[in-house]
Amino acid sequence: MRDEEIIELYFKRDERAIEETDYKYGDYCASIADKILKNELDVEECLDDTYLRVWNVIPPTRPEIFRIFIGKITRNLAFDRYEKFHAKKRGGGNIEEVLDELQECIPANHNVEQSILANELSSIINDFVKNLPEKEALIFVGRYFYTEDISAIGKRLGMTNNNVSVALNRIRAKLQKRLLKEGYLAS
Amino acid sequence: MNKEELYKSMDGIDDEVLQKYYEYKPASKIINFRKAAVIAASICLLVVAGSAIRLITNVPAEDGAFESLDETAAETYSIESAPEEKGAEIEGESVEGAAPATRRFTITACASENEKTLLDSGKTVPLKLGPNYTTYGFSGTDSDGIAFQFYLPQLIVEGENIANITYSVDKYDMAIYNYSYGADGKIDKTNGTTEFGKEYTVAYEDQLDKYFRVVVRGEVPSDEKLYHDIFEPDTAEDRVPAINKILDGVTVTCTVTYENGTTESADIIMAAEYHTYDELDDVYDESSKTGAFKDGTDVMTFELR
Repeated sequence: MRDEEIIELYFKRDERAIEETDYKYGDYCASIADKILKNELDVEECLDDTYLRVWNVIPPTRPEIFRIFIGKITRNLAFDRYEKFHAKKRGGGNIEEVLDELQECIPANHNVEQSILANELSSIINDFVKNLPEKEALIFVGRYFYTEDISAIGKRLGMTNNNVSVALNRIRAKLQKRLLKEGYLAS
Repeated sequence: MNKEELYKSMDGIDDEVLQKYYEYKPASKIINFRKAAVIAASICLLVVAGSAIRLITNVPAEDGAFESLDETAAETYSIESAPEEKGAEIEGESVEGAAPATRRFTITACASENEKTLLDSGKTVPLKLGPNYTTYGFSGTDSDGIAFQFYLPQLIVEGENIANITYSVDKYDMAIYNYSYGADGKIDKTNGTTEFGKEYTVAYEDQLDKYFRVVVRGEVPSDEKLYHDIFEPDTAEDRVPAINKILDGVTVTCTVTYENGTTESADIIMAAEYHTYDELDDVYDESSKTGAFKDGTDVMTFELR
C-alpha cells in the first residue's frame, strides 16, 4: 500500500492504518529502536508506543515523508525509553558509543551563561548537515540520527570502516567549531 | 547542553536528507551493459505490471469502492479545495446566493482561493472539493459499529463588531484540526494539532490567521445493510440514505458574539445528495468514475437555517 493510502486510513480513523504501517514499516522502526535499546521487549513496547503516537497525531498532521516521520517518532520514543531505564542499566546498542562521540563535539564550559532552546539547536544541526558535502552529510545522519554502527554505514555508503571513522572524526571537529561559534557550551 | 540534548536535536535534520541516506545506493564500479539493459527492461515490465495491477484494483468493488468514493464523493462535500494562501480575501470574489436580511453576519465556505460560497438560508449547497481533500471517512464492521468523521470546509464569518465565533455540535462529538501557516504563507499540513470537545471558539480577527477545520465525529451501531451501503454500495445513490442515516440531521451551530456581548446564531445542517458529474462541473478524476460511481457520486451539502 502506498504511503498516501496509509495516511488516508489514519484520516478515516480506520484501524487498518496501524496494521498497514506495521506491515510496511515495522521492521524499519524495530531496527531504529533496536540500535538504541538492544532489548527485544523494549523494542516491542516502543513500537506499540510509536503506532499509538502516530494514530494520535494523524490527523491532523499529514506527513510529507511517512517513512521519516515514523522513523523520527520511533527514535524519540526509543531514546526516551533509553533515558528512563538507563539508570537501571538496561538498553545499550550503539547508543552509548554514539553519545560519547557527541560529547566530544560539545565545547567545554567556560562558565559563560547560556540559554539553550531545543528548536534553535535543531535548526543549527540541520543547517550544519545541509552545508556538509553530501557524503559527509550521509555519514553524519547514519551515525547520529540512525545510530548505526560504523560497519553498517560503510556497507551502505560503499566505504571502508576506516574511511567512515576518519570522516566522522573530521565531521565532529567541524560540528564542535560550529557549536562553539553559536555559543553552545557544555553544561 | 549535554550529549543527550545534542542527540535529540538530530531530529531537526531535514526529512529529505534522512530519506536520502536510507535510499543511498553506492555507485557500481563495473557496468555490464547487456546485463544493465536486461535489468532495465525487467524494471519497465514490473512498472507496467504494477500499474496494470493498480488499475485493476481500482475497480470499485469491495475496498476499491471505498477508495474511489474517498477521492470522488468526498470531493463534492462542499467546496473545491482548501484556500492555500493565508488571509484569503472574500471581497471582490464571486459568491453565490445572498445573505439573509435579518442576520447580521454571513458565513462563507471556502473551497479555494477563488471559489467561495456564501451559505444561504433554505438552500442546500453542494460544493465541489478538489482531489486529495478529505471530507469524510468511515471505518467499522457489519456487526459492531461504524465510526465516522465528517469534515466541514473552512468557514469564514463576516460582520460588523464581532468579537468571537463559537462552533458547536448538537450531537456526536467535535474535533478541531488546527494547522498553521508557514513562512511562505501556505498552510503547513505537516504540523497540526487536534482539539476535542463540543464547541470551539475563535476570535473574529484570528479566523483568517488560523486555518482550522471543524470535524463532526462519532460512532453508530452497524448492521449488514448499513455496512453494505456505506462500504460496498451497488450505486452511488445507495450511499446517500446511508450517509443521511448516520448524519441523522446533525447540526453545527455557529454562534457569533458581538463586542457589546449580544449573540446571534445560525445552524448549519449537513446532509448528503446524489449528483451526476455533469451537475458537479465535472471536476473529478476520470479514474474515480468507475463501477458504482461511473456517472455520479454522493456529495455532502450544507444548508443554513
